Amino acid sequence: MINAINQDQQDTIVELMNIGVGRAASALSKLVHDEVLLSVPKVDFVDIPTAEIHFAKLLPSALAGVTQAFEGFISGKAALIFPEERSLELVRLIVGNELSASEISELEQDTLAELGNILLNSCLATLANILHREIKTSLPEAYTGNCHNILKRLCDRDDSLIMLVQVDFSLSQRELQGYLAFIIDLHSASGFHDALTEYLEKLLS
Amino acid sequence: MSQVTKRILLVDDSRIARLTLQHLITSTDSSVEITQAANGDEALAAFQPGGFDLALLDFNMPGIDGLELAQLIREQDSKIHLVLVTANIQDTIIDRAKSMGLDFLGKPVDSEQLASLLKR
Repeated sequence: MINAINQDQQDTIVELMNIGVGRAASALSKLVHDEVLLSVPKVDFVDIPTAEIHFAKLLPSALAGVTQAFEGFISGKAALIFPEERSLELVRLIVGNELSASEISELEQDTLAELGNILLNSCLATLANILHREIKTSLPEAYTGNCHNILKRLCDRDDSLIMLVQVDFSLSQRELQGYLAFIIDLHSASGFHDALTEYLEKLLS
Repeated sequence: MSQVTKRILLVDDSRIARLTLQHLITSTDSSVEITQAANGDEALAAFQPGGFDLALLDFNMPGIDGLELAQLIREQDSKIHLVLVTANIQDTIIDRAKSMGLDFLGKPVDSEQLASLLKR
């Protein structure tokens, strides 16, 4: 399947993720009242050990975030990831300064889950809308852990061949950086391949 | 004590989403009465025909989804104003909501769009 994704299709994936992540950034910007800066999405086709090396290089050791499974013309899991030490700060940015520290702490998991829900759905829905397909998303799950734990959460199968789409984001006024990762199981990606082919054919016709 | 202008059923499994929406609604109109529910079962237990003017329903929830809940509410109350409020902004979901006569609000909710819906 990896070889079946050609360069045009890979460029298309990057462009579609760019649009999707742009919409997610707009949503995040509204929630935290700050400009969100984005990297160009980086797409890699890798196995699990290689993904773990990617994650270990890129990410801090203690992580927090949200995962959400999706299925339909593509199946996989999406993750919003950021340093665990900044988690409460992110929650405070969203819920405001009126709440006490204990109230903020109490709302932490729920706020992160809802944040992930909004950002990840925004990306996935944009992808589905542009490709005229439908994706079902599960309920978001907040987590904390290290790179290894997170990859375990994201990849159910040890033999997974995955399309790893990474996007870095940061806030312009604050020291807060995070990552979005989309793990698409290429064992069941024929629907994705068909959708990309159809989209490119229309574009080029 | 001010008179209640609208009775709203607010259904979302996320507590923070309910708090956010409640805050946005009461900032727009403080005379509303809001009942919160965390899922379809809680919503149906709280629901009575004629008991609410407006229901704001999340889509992705444990148990039945927001559109299934809308259908069950609509069967009991043909007049209630139903709005799907979700981060799932797929065209197919929006189309299904509209075909069932629901209004649609994407998350994060825009306060002006919400205010315009509350005025109806």
